[in-house]
Amino acid sequence: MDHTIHEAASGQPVSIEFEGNWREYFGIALVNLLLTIVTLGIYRFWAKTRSRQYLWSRTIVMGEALEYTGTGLQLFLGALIAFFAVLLPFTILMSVAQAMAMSGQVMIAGLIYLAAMPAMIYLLGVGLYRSQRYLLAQTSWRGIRGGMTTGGWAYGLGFLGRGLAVIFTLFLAGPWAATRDWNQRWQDARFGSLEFTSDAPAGPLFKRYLLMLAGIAVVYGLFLAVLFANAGGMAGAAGNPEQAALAMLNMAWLFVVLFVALWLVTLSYRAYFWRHIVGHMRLDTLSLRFTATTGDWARFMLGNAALVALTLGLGLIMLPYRVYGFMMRHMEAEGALSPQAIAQSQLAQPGQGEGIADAFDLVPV
Amino acid sequence: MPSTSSPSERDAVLYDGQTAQAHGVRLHLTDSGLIIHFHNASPEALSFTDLRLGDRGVGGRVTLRHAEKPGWRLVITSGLPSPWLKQLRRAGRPAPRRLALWGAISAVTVAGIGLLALNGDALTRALAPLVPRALTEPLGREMAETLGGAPCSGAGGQQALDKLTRLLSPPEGLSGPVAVRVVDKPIVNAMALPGGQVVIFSRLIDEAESADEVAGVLAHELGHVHHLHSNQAIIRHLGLGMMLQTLGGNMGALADTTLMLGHSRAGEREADAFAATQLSRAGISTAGMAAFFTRQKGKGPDAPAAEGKSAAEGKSASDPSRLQTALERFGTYASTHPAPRGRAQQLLAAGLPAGEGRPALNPAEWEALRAICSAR
Repeated sequence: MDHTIHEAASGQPVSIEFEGNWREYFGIALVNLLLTIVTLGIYRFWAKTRSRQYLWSRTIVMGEALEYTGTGLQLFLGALIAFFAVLLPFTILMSVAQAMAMSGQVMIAGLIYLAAMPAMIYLLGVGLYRSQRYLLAQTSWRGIRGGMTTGGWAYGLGFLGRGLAVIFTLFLAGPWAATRDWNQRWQDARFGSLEFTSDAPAGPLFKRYLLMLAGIAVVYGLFLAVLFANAGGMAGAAGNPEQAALAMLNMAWLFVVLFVALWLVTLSYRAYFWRHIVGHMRLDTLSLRFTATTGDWARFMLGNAALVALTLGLGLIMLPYRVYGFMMRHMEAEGALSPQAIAQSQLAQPGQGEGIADAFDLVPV
Repeated sequence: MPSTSSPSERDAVLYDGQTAQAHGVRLHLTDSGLIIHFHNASPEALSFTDLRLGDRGVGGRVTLRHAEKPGWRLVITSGLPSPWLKQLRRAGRPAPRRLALWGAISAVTVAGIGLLALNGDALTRALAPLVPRALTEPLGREMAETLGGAPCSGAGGQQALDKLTRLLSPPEGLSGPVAVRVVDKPIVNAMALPGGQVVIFSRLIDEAESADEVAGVLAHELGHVHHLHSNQAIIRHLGLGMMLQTLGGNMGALADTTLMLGHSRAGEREADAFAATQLSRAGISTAGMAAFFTRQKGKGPDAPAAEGKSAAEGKSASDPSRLQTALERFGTYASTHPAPRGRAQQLLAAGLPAGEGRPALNPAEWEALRAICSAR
């Protein structure tokens, strides 16, 4: 028989390709939009599922497509649970605190308010973790699925601690917290029997991060300086409308230039950040890499803006496709995997998902 | 086995769900399912009921799943004949009873959403009396104080106001206690806050040309109090509104806003109807109220309020500009208050004409009310 695949026992090189077609996706997204409108928004869980099914099925890893196995019902249940277990009690607690503050019990009300912010940050962390868990558990490749080793409740505490550190250091701890959050989440991630490792150090990020902060400070400083200088100039030219108009035009131009500069500085940090953290990830012996440069990001974001503007907003429904495609096209893996060494995951597969993350609107795809 | 391909033969890749290893197999499609021929194991027959249709990829590529083995995948790159796929789909279709169950669940859900959308009022109305006063009373008082500080207390003013309130309450009483105050603010407005707190801003009394006009506004606000509209708003916000905004995302928020506007318009009409009834019962004409609203319409909501009444006099109340009429009509849908023109007509139709009523307050009381904020 000549139809047997003789898969090499040793590793095979790993390729990642995205073969999506925007016309196909547009058809799906349009139907999704219409159904979401007529159901007052409730269909969006099924819409998201349909969209993911398409995107996953067009992502080819080592010649075999990924598969999204989640269902709309799971997302709907997740949102219901988040609503009744988290959002509703939270809102009621806030209303009670408000009523208490008004009836004079300021101390207790203050304590409730004070506890609310950390609680929100904690839930944000748990939501991020559980969303990643759901996505990994519902992603299947060659019949093998992923997962996360915990439920994320402990991760939320670490996330809260780092969040508070960022606030108390006036954002100077930003890169440290961001890399730690990322590393902690991916340390717990598995694909089948393979473990992810993530050990991005924060050090190399600080230089660029501080550069970005300095850039923001300089641009805002210039902005204010120009504003004051021109205000003075315009007051001086009060009797001369032509001169005042000219000053105004100059100011507008300068603001545009400053805004673009600020945008590029921020984008450059973002591009470096993603290359850095993904570049320090491994799946077993496989090294991952993210290749998007600042220019790639700029083109991507300008494209998004143009698409939405030129279609009067309808282009918004294409953004998940563009985000996913951008991420996948710039994802690379180096090294080899031997498929027979990847055994099925023994981790729990959650029956509902993403409720908290959905409430915070955290998942772009 | 011959290696030439017949229509019922396919090369395929099998993943057993245990490891990621690919097993090359040859499929033989039959009338009842398929037979998998392995390289070095005996063939395995699977019926249509064992199989489920999975993702379909580029170029006819089909993935089959197993009904009982979660990770099991059979990938056929060269596609499958459509009659065979049709049979597979028919077998995979849920049993009629299951289908009926899902149909019923969907129907009930859709009907529920539709009912809420069309008649969420009934639900909020039924729940409104259940919001405890212990919550709404301090909330309303705090809001009133935030809005205007201490109430005006000119001699005899509050007595005149309380007399009007009694006069305009139904004989069996309002649905809860009410507290009316005037606060010193240059705003032509009045509002009914939670817990029966009614606030009238002083500029409204300045701009009113008679006690009848103030009585009309007060009766309208008492209508809001009587029908517990602020409680309904609280329930709407905490209940349906939050549910739609969180479960429905952006689209749900849009739907919520639309429903909210419709709901508050219904509330305004209800308050107007209450006002017309109570004014008539007290023997006060609705003409004052109608005149006041018509006059207010002539000015924008933020029109600079000049000293005295000159601002209202210069402008014709019924400017027959077509654009304005169109805008007004749109305004009825887009704003929380019904368009003033239709509103004035309805008020006039529902109550006593100008000549037949008695004044809401005697001249001395009206003077005291007008001067309520002058003793600063």
